Amino acid sequence: MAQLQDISRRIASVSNTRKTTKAMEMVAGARLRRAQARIESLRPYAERMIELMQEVARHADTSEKFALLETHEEEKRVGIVMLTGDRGLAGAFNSNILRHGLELHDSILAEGKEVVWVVIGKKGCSTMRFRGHSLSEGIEGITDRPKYTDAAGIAKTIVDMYANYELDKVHLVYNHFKTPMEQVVTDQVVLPMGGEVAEVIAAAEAEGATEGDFIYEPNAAAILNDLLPTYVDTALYRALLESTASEHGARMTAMRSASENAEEMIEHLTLQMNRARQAAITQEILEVVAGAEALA
Amino acid sequence: MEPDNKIKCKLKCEIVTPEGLKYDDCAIMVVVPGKVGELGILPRHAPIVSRIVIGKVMVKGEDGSRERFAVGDGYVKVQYDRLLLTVDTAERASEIDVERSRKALARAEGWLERARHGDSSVDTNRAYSSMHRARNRLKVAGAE
Repeated sequence: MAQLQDISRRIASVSNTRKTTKAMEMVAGARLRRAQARIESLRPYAERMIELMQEVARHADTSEKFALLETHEEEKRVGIVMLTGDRGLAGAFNSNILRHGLELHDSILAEGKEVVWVVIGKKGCSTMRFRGHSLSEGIEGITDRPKYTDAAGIAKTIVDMYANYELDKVHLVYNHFKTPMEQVVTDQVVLPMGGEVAEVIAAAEAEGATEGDFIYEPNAAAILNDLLPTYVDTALYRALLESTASEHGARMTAMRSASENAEEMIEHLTLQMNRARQAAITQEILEVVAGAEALA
Repeated sequence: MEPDNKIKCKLKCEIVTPEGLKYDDCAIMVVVPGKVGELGILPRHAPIVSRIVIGKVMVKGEDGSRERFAVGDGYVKVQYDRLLLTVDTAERASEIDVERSRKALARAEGWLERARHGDSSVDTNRAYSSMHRARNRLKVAGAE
Protein backbone atom coordinates (compact mmCIF):
# COMPACT_ATOMS: atom_id res chain seq x y z
CA MET A 1 0.00 0.00 0.00
CA ALA A 2 2.84 2.35 0.91
CA GLN A 3 4.33 1.96 -2.54
CA LEU A 4 1.06 2.87 -4.17
CA GLN A 5 0.89 6.13 -2.28
CA ASP A 6 4.48 6.98 -3.15
CA ILE A 7 3.81 6.54 -6.82
CA SER A 8 0.65 8.62 -6.80
CA ARG A 9 2.47 11.37 -4.95
CA ARG A 10 5.18 11.35 -7.61
CA ILE A 11 2.59 11.52 -10.36
CA ALA A 12 1.08 14.59 -8.70
CA SER A 13 4.48 16.23 -8.44
CA VAL A 14 5.45 15.51 -12.06
CA SER A 15 2.13 16.79 -13.36
CA ASN A 16 2.65 20.00 -11.41
CA THR A 17 6.04 20.38 -13.06
CA ARG A 18 4.40 19.80 -16.41
CA LYS A 19 1.91 22.57 -15.72
CA THR A 20 4.79 24.97 -15.09
CA THR A 21 6.76 23.97 -18.17
CA LYS A 22 3.62 24.13 -20.33
CA ALA A 23 2.87 27.62 -19.07
CA MET A 24 6.45 28.74 -19.70
CA GLU A 25 6.28 27.30 -23.20
CA MET A 26 3.14 29.31 -23.97
CA VAL A 27 4.55 32.53 -22.53
CA ALA A 28 7.80 32.09 -24.47
CA GLY A 29 5.77 31.45 -27.63
CA ALA A 30 3.79 34.66 -27.22
CA ARG A 31 6.92 36.70 -26.49
CA LEU A 32 8.68 35.13 -29.44
CA ARG A 33 5.98 36.35 -31.80
CA ARG A 34 6.27 39.85 -30.38
CA ALA A 35 10.06 39.81 -30.71
CA GLN A 36 9.82 38.63 -34.31
CA ALA A 37 7.38 41.44 -35.10
CA ARG A 38 9.88 43.95 -33.71
CA ILE A 39 12.65 42.59 -35.95
CA GLU A 40 10.28 43.05 -38.87
CA SER A 41 9.53 46.66 -37.93
CA LEU A 42 13.21 47.51 -37.84
CA ARG A 43 13.78 46.40 -41.42
CA PRO A 44 12.49 49.53 -43.24
CA TYR A 45 14.55 51.77 -40.96
CA ALA A 46 17.72 49.76 -41.59
CA GLU A 47 17.11 49.77 -45.34
CA ARG A 48 16.53 53.52 -45.43
CA MET A 49 19.71 54.04 -43.46
CA ILE A 50 21.80 52.15 -46.02
CA GLU A 51 20.07 53.95 -48.90
CA LEU A 52 20.81 57.26 -47.29
CA MET A 53 24.41 56.27 -46.71
CA GLN A 54 24.83 55.35 -50.38
CA GLU A 55 23.33 58.64 -51.43
CA VAL A 56 25.47 60.70 -49.08
CA ALA A 57 28.70 58.75 -49.67
CA ARG A 58 28.39 59.48 -53.37
CA HIS A 59 28.52 63.20 -52.71
CA ALA A 60 30.79 63.29 -49.71
CA ASP A 61 34.45 64.14 -49.92
CA THR A 62 35.76 60.66 -49.11
CA SER A 63 39.37 61.78 -49.11
CA GLU A 64 38.53 62.90 -45.61
CA LYS A 65 39.11 60.15 -43.07
CA PHE A 66 36.34 58.73 -40.94
CA ALA A 67 37.48 57.43 -37.56
CA LEU A 68 35.10 54.45 -37.55
CA LEU A 69 36.23 53.18 -40.95
CA GLU A 70 39.92 53.39 -40.13
CA THR A 71 41.74 50.25 -39.09
CA HIS A 72 44.09 50.93 -36.21
CA GLU A 73 47.70 50.21 -37.06
CA GLU A 74 48.39 48.45 -33.81
CA GLU A 75 45.80 46.11 -32.35
CA LYS A 76 46.30 46.09 -28.62
CA ARG A 77 42.90 46.14 -26.99
CA VAL A 78 40.02 44.15 -28.41
CA GLY A 79 36.46 44.65 -27.19
CA ILE A 80 33.97 41.81 -26.97
CA VAL A 81 30.31 42.77 -26.74
CA MET A 82 28.49 39.67 -25.63
CA LEU A 83 24.69 39.39 -25.57
CA THR A 84 23.19 36.88 -23.15
CA GLY A 85 19.81 36.67 -21.42
CA ASP A 86 18.62 37.78 -17.99
CA ARG A 87 17.02 34.43 -17.27
CA GLY A 88 17.92 30.78 -17.51
CA LEU A 89 15.82 27.74 -18.41
CA ALA A 90 16.38 28.37 -22.09
CA GLY A 91 18.32 25.30 -23.14
CA ALA A 92 21.80 26.01 -24.41
CA PHE A 93 21.03 29.66 -25.24
CA ASN A 94 23.33 31.25 -22.66
CA SER A 95 25.99 28.56 -22.52
CA ASN A 96 26.58 28.59 -26.29
CA ILE A 97 27.26 32.31 -26.23
CA LEU A 98 29.46 32.08 -23.16
CA ARG A 99 31.47 29.25 -24.67
CA HIS A 100 32.09 31.18 -27.86
CA GLY A 101 32.93 34.36 -25.97
CA LEU A 102 35.46 32.61 -23.78
CA GLU A 103 37.08 30.87 -26.76
CA LEU A 104 37.39 34.21 -28.50
CA HIS A 105 38.86 35.69 -25.32
CA ASP A 106 41.48 32.92 -25.12
CA SER A 107 42.49 33.28 -28.75
CA ILE A 108 42.87 37.06 -28.35
CA LEU A 109 44.99 36.61 -25.23
CA ALA A 110 47.09 34.03 -27.07
CA GLU A 111 47.92 36.71 -29.63
CA GLY A 112 49.23 38.85 -26.79
CA LYS A 113 46.36 41.34 -26.83
CA GLU A 114 44.09 42.64 -24.14
CA VAL A 115 40.34 41.97 -23.92
CA VAL A 116 37.75 44.53 -22.84
CA TRP A 117 34.40 43.01 -21.92
CA VAL A 118 31.00 44.56 -22.47
CA VAL A 119 28.42 42.02 -21.31
CA ILE A 120 24.66 42.37 -21.61
CA GLY A 121 22.32 40.11 -19.65
CA LYS A 122 22.31 38.96 -16.05
CA LYS A 123 23.37 35.41 -16.91
CA GLY A 124 26.46 36.51 -18.78
CA CYS A 125 27.44 39.13 -16.20
CA SER A 126 27.25 36.77 -13.24
CA THR A 127 29.11 33.96 -15.01
CA MET A 128 31.90 36.28 -16.13
CA ARG A 129 32.26 37.88 -12.70
CA PHE A 130 32.25 34.43 -11.08
CA ARG A 131 35.10 33.42 -13.34
CA GLY A 132 37.06 36.45 -12.25
CA HIS A 133 36.86 38.58 -15.40
CA SER A 134 36.47 42.28 -14.88
CA LEU A 135 33.75 43.84 -17.01
CA SER A 136 34.16 47.25 -18.54
CA GLU A 137 30.35 47.38 -18.71
CA GLY A 138 27.84 44.89 -17.34
CA ILE A 139 24.29 45.75 -18.33
CA GLU A 140 21.32 43.89 -16.88
CA GLY A 141 17.60 44.13 -17.23
CA ILE A 142 17.23 45.31 -20.83
CA THR A 143 17.01 42.03 -22.76
CA ASP A 144 13.34 41.45 -22.06
CA ARG A 145 12.27 44.40 -24.17
CA PRO A 146 15.34 46.10 -25.63
CA LYS A 147 14.80 49.74 -26.53
CA TYR A 148 16.57 51.61 -29.28
CA THR A 149 17.89 54.11 -26.76
CA ASP A 150 19.50 51.24 -24.78
CA ALA A 151 21.33 50.12 -27.90
CA ALA A 152 22.30 53.68 -28.79
CA GLY A 153 23.72 54.27 -25.31
CA ILE A 154 25.88 51.16 -25.39
CA ALA A 155 26.95 51.82 -28.98
CA LYS A 156 27.99 55.36 -28.07
CA THR A 157 30.30 54.08 -25.32
CA ILE A 158 31.98 51.66 -27.73
CA VAL A 159 32.22 54.15 -30.58
CA ASP A 160 33.79 56.78 -28.31
CA MET A 161 36.32 54.27 -26.99
CA TYR A 162 37.21 53.26 -30.53
CA ALA A 163 37.58 56.85 -31.70
CA ASN A 164 39.84 57.60 -28.70
CA TYR A 165 42.04 54.58 -29.45
CA GLU A 166 41.01 52.89 -26.20
CA LEU A 167 39.79 49.98 -28.34
CA ASP A 168 41.31 48.81 -31.59
CA LYS A 169 38.71 46.29 -32.67
CA VAL A 170 35.24 45.31 -31.46
CA HIS A 171 33.52 41.95 -31.77
CA LEU A 172 29.78 41.54 -31.30
CA VAL A 173 28.82 38.04 -30.17
CA TYR A 174 25.12 37.14 -30.13
CA ASN A 175 22.57 34.47 -31.00
CA HIS A 176 21.23 35.04 -34.48
CA PHE A 177 17.58 34.03 -34.79
CA LYS A 178 17.17 31.50 -37.58
CA THR A 179 14.06 29.56 -36.64
CA PRO A 180 12.37 29.14 -33.26
CA MET A 181 14.28 25.86 -32.93
CA GLU A 182 17.59 27.07 -34.24
CA GLN A 183 19.87 29.82 -33.02
CA VAL A 184 23.19 30.49 -34.63
CA VAL A 185 26.00 31.95 -32.55
CA THR A 186 27.23 34.89 -34.59
CA ASP A 187 30.52 36.71 -34.23
CA GLN A 188 30.52 40.01 -36.07
CA VAL A 189 33.28 42.60 -36.16
CA VAL A 190 31.46 45.93 -35.76
CA LEU A 191 34.50 48.21 -35.50
CA PRO A 192 36.34 49.08 -37.64
CA MET A 193 33.27 49.13 -39.84
CA GLY A 194 33.50 46.72 -42.71
CA GLY A 195 31.07 44.63 -44.75
CA GLU A 196 28.05 46.42 -46.07
CA VAL A 197 29.20 49.91 -45.14
CA ALA A 198 32.71 49.53 -46.53
CA GLU A 199 31.21 48.24 -49.78
CA VAL A 200 28.85 51.17 -50.01
CA ILE A 201 31.63 53.66 -49.42
CA ALA A 202 34.06 51.90 -51.76
CA ALA A 203 31.42 51.79 -54.51
CA ALA A 204 30.75 55.48 -54.05
CA GLU A 205 34.48 56.22 -54.22
CA ALA A 206 34.89 54.18 -57.39
CA GLU A 207 31.99 55.97 -59.00
CA GLY A 208 33.50 59.31 -58.14
CA ALA A 209 31.59 62.35 -57.04
CA THR A 210 28.61 62.82 -59.32
CA GLU A 211 27.16 66.20 -60.01
CA GLY A 212 25.57 67.08 -56.71
CA ASP A 213 21.96 67.93 -57.35
CA PHE A 214 21.21 67.53 -53.65
CA ILE A 215 21.43 70.25 -51.09
CA TYR A 216 23.18 68.95 -47.98
CA GLU A 217 22.69 70.52 -44.63
CA PRO A 218 25.19 71.03 -43.07
CA ASN A 219 27.29 69.12 -45.72
CA ALA A 220 27.64 65.61 -47.09
CA ALA A 221 30.78 64.68 -45.15
CA ALA A 222 29.30 65.85 -41.85
CA ILE A 223 26.12 63.86 -42.47
CA LEU A 224 28.14 60.76 -43.34
CA ASN A 225 30.20 61.26 -40.21
CA ASP A 226 26.98 61.18 -38.17
CA LEU A 227 25.48 58.31 -40.14
CA LEU A 228 28.34 55.92 -39.40
CA PRO A 229 27.76 55.75 -35.62
CA THR A 230 24.01 55.55 -36.26
CA TYR A 231 24.74 52.44 -38.28
CA VAL A 232 26.54 50.93 -35.28
CA ASP A 233 23.49 51.78 -33.11
CA THR A 234 21.22 50.01 -35.57
CA ALA A 235 23.50 46.96 -35.79
CA LEU A 236 23.56 46.65 -32.01
CA TYR A 237 19.80 47.19 -31.71
CA ARG A 238 19.22 44.51 -34.31
CA ALA A 239 21.52 42.10 -32.47
CA LEU A 240 19.62 42.79 -29.24
CA LEU A 241 16.30 42.04 -30.92
CA GLU A 242 17.69 38.89 -32.53
CA SER A 243 19.08 37.76 -29.21
CA THR A 244 15.74 38.31 -27.46
CA ALA A 245 13.87 36.39 -30.15
CA SER A 246 16.46 33.59 -29.95
CA GLU A 247 16.12 33.44 -26.19
CA HIS A 248 12.35 33.01 -26.36
CA GLY A 249 12.70 30.47 -29.15
CA ALA A 250 15.25 28.47 -27.19
CA ARG A 251 13.12 28.62 -24.06
CA MET A 252 10.03 27.53 -25.94
CA THR A 253 11.85 24.53 -27.42
CA ALA A 254 13.44 23.58 -24.11
CA MET A 255 10.13 23.83 -22.28
CA ARG A 256 8.34 21.83 -24.94
CA SER A 257 10.74 18.93 -24.57
CA ALA A 258 10.53 19.22 -20.79
CA SER A 259 6.73 18.96 -21.02
CA GLU A 260 7.03 15.96 -23.29
CA ASN A 261 9.42 14.27 -20.89
CA ALA A 262 7.06 14.95 -18.01
CA GLU A 263 4.19 13.42 -19.96
CA GLU A 264 6.23 10.32 -20.67
CA MET A 265 7.12 10.03 -17.03
CA ILE A 266 3.49 10.36 -15.98
CA GLU A 267 2.51 7.58 -18.38
CA HIS A 268 5.25 5.35 -17.05
CA LEU A 269 4.35 6.04 -13.43
CA THR A 270 0.64 5.50 -14.05
CA LEU A 271 1.41 2.10 -15.54
CA GLN A 272 3.54 1.29 -12.53
CA MET A 273 0.81 2.42 -10.17
CA ASN A 274 -1.85 0.33 -11.89
CA ARG A 275 0.39 -2.73 -11.72
CA ALA A 276 1.00 -2.18 -8.04
CA ARG A 277 -2.71 -1.69 -7.40
CA GLN A 278 -3.58 -4.87 -9.28
CA ALA A 279 -0.95 -6.78 -7.37
CA ALA A 280 -2.39 -5.47 -4.11
CA ILE A 281 -5.94 -6.50 -5.10
CA THR A 282 -4.79 -9.95 -6.18
CA GLN A 283 -2.97 -10.27 -2.90
CA GLU A 284 -6.09 -9.34 -0.97
CA ILE A 285 -8.31 -11.81 -2.86
CA LEU A 286 -5.79 -14.55 -2.24
CA GLU A 287 -5.82 -13.72 1.43
CA VAL A 288 -9.66 -13.75 1.60
CA VAL A 289 -9.84 -17.06 -0.31
CA ALA A 290 -7.15 -18.60 1.88
CA GLY A 291 -8.99 -17.40 4.99
CA ALA A 292 -12.33 -18.87 3.77
CA GLU A 293 -10.66 -22.17 2.96
CA ALA A 294 -9.11 -22.31 6.40
CA LEU A 295 -12.55 -21.85 7.99
CA ALA A 296 -14.25 -24.44 5.81
CA MET B 1 15.65 56.14 -56.52
CA GLU B 2 12.98 56.40 -59.19
CA PRO B 3 9.93 58.54 -58.64
CA ASP B 4 7.55 55.83 -57.47
CA ASN B 5 4.57 57.95 -56.53
CA LYS B 6 2.06 55.27 -57.36
CA ILE B 7 -0.66 57.02 -55.46
CA LYS B 8 -0.44 60.49 -56.87
CA CYS B 9 0.55 62.75 -54.02
CA LYS B 10 1.52 66.36 -53.95
CA LEU B 11 4.06 65.43 -51.35
CA LYS B 12 4.46 61.90 -50.02
CA CYS B 13 5.54 61.89 -46.41
CA GLU B 14 6.99 58.88 -44.60
CA ILE B 15 8.27 58.82 -41.03
CA VAL B 16 10.37 55.75 -40.27
CA THR B 17 11.74 54.76 -36.86
CA PRO B 18 13.41 51.56 -35.60
CA GLU B 19 10.00 50.62 -34.24
CA GLY B 20 8.37 50.84 -37.64
CA LEU B 21 6.59 53.22 -39.97
CA LYS B 22 4.94 56.01 -37.96
CA TYR B 23 3.38 57.98 -40.79
CA ASP B 24 2.81 57.24 -44.45
CA ASP B 25 0.44 59.53 -46.25
CA CYS B 26 0.04 62.46 -48.60
CA ALA B 27 0.74 65.96 -47.37
CA ILE B 28 0.84 69.49 -48.69
CA MET B 29 3.39 70.83 -46.25
CA VAL B 30 5.84 69.37 -43.74
CA VAL B 31 7.91 71.36 -41.23
CA VAL B 32 10.94 69.57 -39.79
CA PRO B 33 13.58 70.61 -37.24
CA GLY B 34 16.77 70.73 -39.31
CA LYS B 35 20.17 71.08 -37.74
CA VAL B 36 20.61 74.55 -39.14
CA GLY B 37 17.05 75.64 -38.42
CA GLU B 38 13.48 74.72 -39.16
CA LEU B 39 12.79 73.57 -42.68
CA GLY B 40 9.43 73.99 -44.32
CA ILE B 41 9.02 71.53 -47.17
CA LEU B 42 6.41 72.16 -49.84
CA PRO B 43 5.69 70.15 -52.98
CA ARG B 44 8.32 70.53 -55.74
CA HIS B 45 11.04 71.23 -53.21
CA ALA B 46 14.62 70.92 -54.46
CA PRO B 47 16.33 67.62 -53.52
CA ILE B 48 17.77 67.95 -50.05
CA VAL B 49 19.30 65.83 -47.32
CA SER B 50 19.50 67.31 -43.85
CA ARG B 51 20.30 66.31 -40.31
CA ILE B 52 17.30 66.40 -38.00
CA VAL B 53 17.62 67.31 -34.34
CA ILE B 54 15.27 66.74 -31.41
CA GLY B 55 12.18 68.83 -32.04
CA LYS B 56 8.72 69.08 -33.52
CA VAL B 57 7.54 67.85 -36.89
CA MET B 58 4.32 69.24 -38.32
CA VAL B 59 2.57 67.53 -41.20
CA LYS B 60 -0.26 69.31 -42.97
CA GLY B 61 -2.38 66.71 -44.72
CA GLU B 62 -4.12 67.17 -48.06
CA ASP B 63 -7.41 67.75 -46.27
CA GLY B 64 -5.83 70.57 -44.28
CA SER B 65 -5.54 68.57 -41.06
CA ARG B 66 -2.41 69.09 -38.99
CA GLU B 67 -0.52 66.40 -37.16
CA ARG B 68 2.35 67.01 -34.80
CA PHE B 69 5.15 64.62 -33.83
CA ALA B 70 7.90 64.82 -31.27
CA VAL B 71 11.01 63.42 -32.95
CA GLY B 72 14.55 62.54 -31.93
CA ASP B 73 17.81 62.60 -33.87
CA GLY B 74 17.80 61.60 -37.51
CA TYR B 75 17.82 62.59 -41.15
CA VAL B 76 15.43 63.85 -43.77
CA LYS B 77 15.65 63.30 -47.50
CA VAL B 78 13.42 64.98 -50.05
CA GLN B 79 13.42 64.00 -53.69
CA TYR B 80 10.75 63.71 -56.39
CA ASP B 81 8.06 65.05 -54.04
CA ARG B 82 8.80 62.28 -51.61
CA LEU B 83 9.87 63.12 -48.09
CA LEU B 84 11.62 60.47 -46.04
CA LEU B 85 12.12 61.20 -42.40
CA THR B 86 14.40 58.65 -40.71
CA VAL B 87 14.54 59.33 -36.97
CA ASP B 88 15.37 57.29 -33.87
CA THR B 89 12.05 58.16 -32.20
CA ALA B 90 8.77 59.71 -33.33
CA GLU B 91 5.69 60.12 -31.19
CA ARG B 92 2.38 61.53 -32.32
CA ALA B 93 1.40 64.48 -30.11
CA SER B 94 -1.83 62.73 -29.12
CA GLU B 95 0.05 59.60 -28.06
CA ILE B 96 2.59 61.25 -25.79
CA ASP B 97 2.39 60.09 -22.19
CA VAL B 98 2.62 63.44 -20.40
CA GLU B 99 2.94 61.90 -16.94
CA ARG B 100 5.85 59.72 -18.03
CA SER B 101 7.59 62.60 -19.77
CA ARG B 102 7.27 64.73 -16.60
CA LYS B 103 8.85 61.94 -14.58
CA ALA B 104 11.66 61.51 -17.13
CA LEU B 105 12.30 65.25 -17.02
CA ALA B 106 12.44 65.27 -13.20
CA ARG B 107 14.79 62.29 -13.24
CA ALA B 108 17.16 63.89 -15.76
CA GLU B 109 17.18 67.14 -13.80
CA GLY B 110 17.96 65.13 -10.67
CA TRP B 111 20.97 63.56 -12.37
CA LEU B 112 22.26 66.94 -13.49
CA GLU B 113 21.77 68.35 -10.00
CA ARG B 114 23.87 65.51 -8.61
CA ALA B 115 26.51 66.07 -11.27
CA ARG B 116 26.72 69.73 -10.22
CA HIS B 117 27.48 68.57 -6.69
CA GLY B 118 30.43 66.58 -7.90
CA ASP B 119 28.90 63.12 -8.45
CA SER B 120 31.16 61.77 -11.18
CA SER B 121 29.09 58.62 -11.75
CA VAL B 122 26.52 60.66 -13.69
CA ASP B 123 26.70 60.53 -17.49
CA THR B 124 26.00 64.20 -18.09
CA ASN B 125 25.71 63.84 -21.87
CA ARG B 126 23.03 61.26 -21.46
CA ALA B 127 21.26 63.27 -18.79
CA TYR B 128 21.21 66.38 -20.99
CA SER B 129 19.93 64.37 -23.90
CA SER B 130 17.08 62.80 -21.93
CA MET B 131 16.19 66.19 -20.42
CA HIS B 132 16.09 67.63 -23.90
CA ARG B 133 13.91 64.81 -25.17
CA ALA B 134 11.50 64.99 -22.25
CA ARG B 135 11.13 68.79 -22.64
CA ASN B 136 10.49 68.35 -26.33
CA ARG B 137 7.79 65.74 -25.73
CA LEU B 138 6.06 67.99 -23.22
CA LYS B 139 6.27 70.94 -25.56
CA VAL B 140 4.83 69.03 -28.50
CA ALA B 141 2.06 67.62 -26.30
CA GLY B 142 1.30 71.21 -25.28
CA ALA B 143 1.85 70.50 -21.59
CA GLU B 144 4.61 72.96 -20.88
